[in-house]
Amino acid sequence: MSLRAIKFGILGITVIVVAALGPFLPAKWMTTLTYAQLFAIYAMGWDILSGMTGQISFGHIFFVAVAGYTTGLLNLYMKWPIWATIPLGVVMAVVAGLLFSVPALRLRGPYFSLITLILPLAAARLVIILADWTGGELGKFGVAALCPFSDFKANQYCNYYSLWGLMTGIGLFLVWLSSSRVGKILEAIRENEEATEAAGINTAKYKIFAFAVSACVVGLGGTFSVHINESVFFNSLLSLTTSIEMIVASVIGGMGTIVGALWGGFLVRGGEQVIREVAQLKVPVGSEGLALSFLERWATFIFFALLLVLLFFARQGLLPLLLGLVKKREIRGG
Amino acid sequence: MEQILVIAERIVIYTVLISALYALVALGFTMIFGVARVLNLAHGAFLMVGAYTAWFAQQYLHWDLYSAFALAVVVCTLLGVVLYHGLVRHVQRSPIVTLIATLACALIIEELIKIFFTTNTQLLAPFISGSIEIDKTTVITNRIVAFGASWAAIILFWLFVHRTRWGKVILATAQDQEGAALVGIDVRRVYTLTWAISGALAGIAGVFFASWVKIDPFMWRDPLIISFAIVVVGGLGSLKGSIVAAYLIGFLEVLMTYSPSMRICTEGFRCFEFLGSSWVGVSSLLVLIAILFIKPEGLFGRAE
Repeated sequence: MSLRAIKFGILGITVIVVAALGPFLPAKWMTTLTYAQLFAIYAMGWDILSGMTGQISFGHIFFVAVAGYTTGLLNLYMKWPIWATIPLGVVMAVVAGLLFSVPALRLRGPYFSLITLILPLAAARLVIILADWTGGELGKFGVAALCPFSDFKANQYCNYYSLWGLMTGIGLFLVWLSSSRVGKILEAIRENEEATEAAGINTAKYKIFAFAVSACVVGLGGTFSVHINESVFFNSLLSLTTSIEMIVASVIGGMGTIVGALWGGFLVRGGEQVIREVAQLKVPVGSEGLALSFLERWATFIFFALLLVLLFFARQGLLPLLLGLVKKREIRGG
Repeated sequence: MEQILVIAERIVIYTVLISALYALVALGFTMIFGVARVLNLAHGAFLMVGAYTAWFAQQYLHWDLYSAFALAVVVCTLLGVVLYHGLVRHVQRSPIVTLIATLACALIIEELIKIFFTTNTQLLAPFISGSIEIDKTTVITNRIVAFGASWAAIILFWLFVHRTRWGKVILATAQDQEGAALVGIDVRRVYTLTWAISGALAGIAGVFFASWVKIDPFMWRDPLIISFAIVVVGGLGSLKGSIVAAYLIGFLEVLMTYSPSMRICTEGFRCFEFLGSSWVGVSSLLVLIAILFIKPEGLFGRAE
């Protein structure tokens, strides 16, 4: 089986399982998985640029913010309908990505990463300066909802499956792209940019393309997030933590594999919910039992600590690790 | 006319004062890059640890500020050594992994502080309270202390690097790691020393930064941005460039704070301020982005 077939297979199974799970989920877990899907979209978007080309971006949340604030504020103040503002938001994210990529890609390695870290910090200042419009750190409510149902449950289902559709579409496209000729060139750039250039390939063109695709994917997620939350909310649109969590997700799943980033997204958001659940429990120690509620505050800490451990011991990530095991068995069996 | 002179004088005095602190903030960051080629994204978090240590010693252990300050410097020195041996040493070969790992460290420290000390803003008592008049400008006395201490630390650092045996060893390693190893220098020990010094400098800067601004779990971001901006403008690894750049960035920040701002409003009573104190962080970010795009090797530095 080719790698491409394996990736499509894993993607297919994952999205079918997520779709089939929907009706059986309690309300709380449905919300969790809704946001997990959103985050998986971000992680895949990050992966197509940073995972594939090795140009690590610390600031992908910036594109979420550009798309999210564009659609949210246009809808809120100009009363434009969401079918117009969502594409506009995505276009703005792509434009921002292109404008940024042309000069940024002249910088190599750490310098590139540094400047991507600056972007969301600068954007955060701007959002606060324009607080009368953006609501600053508190955010603004009253943005049109993605799903127009009055019933809570219907709305939840609608959000869940719209994001599922988006995630599946993006997943299929990115897996296809990553195993196409373009994907091979992006990987070649990561391994050795000079050699790729020497082979007569205009690497800048491909990196800019990857930038645009990445900004588009992440921006799409951002617009959906705004209309699902019915607000432009600073913490979900410009949080540096989320930006780094995209790296965590991708490193957990396997950088540059797309499907791995998708899994990583679910593992991070699902894992956070599991920690919250465990925090509700009491360990039967002593007469009163030991409350685990302190765990909730440790959730983010645990994931960053996990990132460090993974960077140390399993830099290739989950998916390549599993694939490696499969391959070993094949070799031994054959 | 009188008015303008008063404002100009204030801008000059405040620039001179805050830029010294900024230079100190960036010093440890540029040193690690210059010697070990590592961009330590946890540098701002080092400052934060220093600030919280001093605050904790003062608030809970009821130490006086001088002992608290000493403790902060010791803790930060140890933190530098621990971070180097526990983490950076093992991932140093890949610059990208080092960046991710040190940034993760900064966020871990932020989380730990949130868990143990909440997100509330804390205040650190000044070394000397009150304020004095310089000509027509009122200056908080503690900021003059910070200015003096910053320059003292910078000059001591310079003397250490250029006048002592160990300083020369560090310089040699910075110039050529393999060459240094060949003449019998234990490179790993030099790196350990570098991280320790960088930690100590961050500890000093952290205490003064905290008494100048404030203490909260997010305070590591500003010093980190300032360090970036200064080090990128001045050229990574260049001490002289860093100090000039610190004055440039400091000047811009002070100019933003005291420049006349414009309040621009539209119908519906929505306003925003153009320039003025809310733009303080923006100037260094813009300078940083501009320099990185136009002249990535910095104004004074070597090309990387």
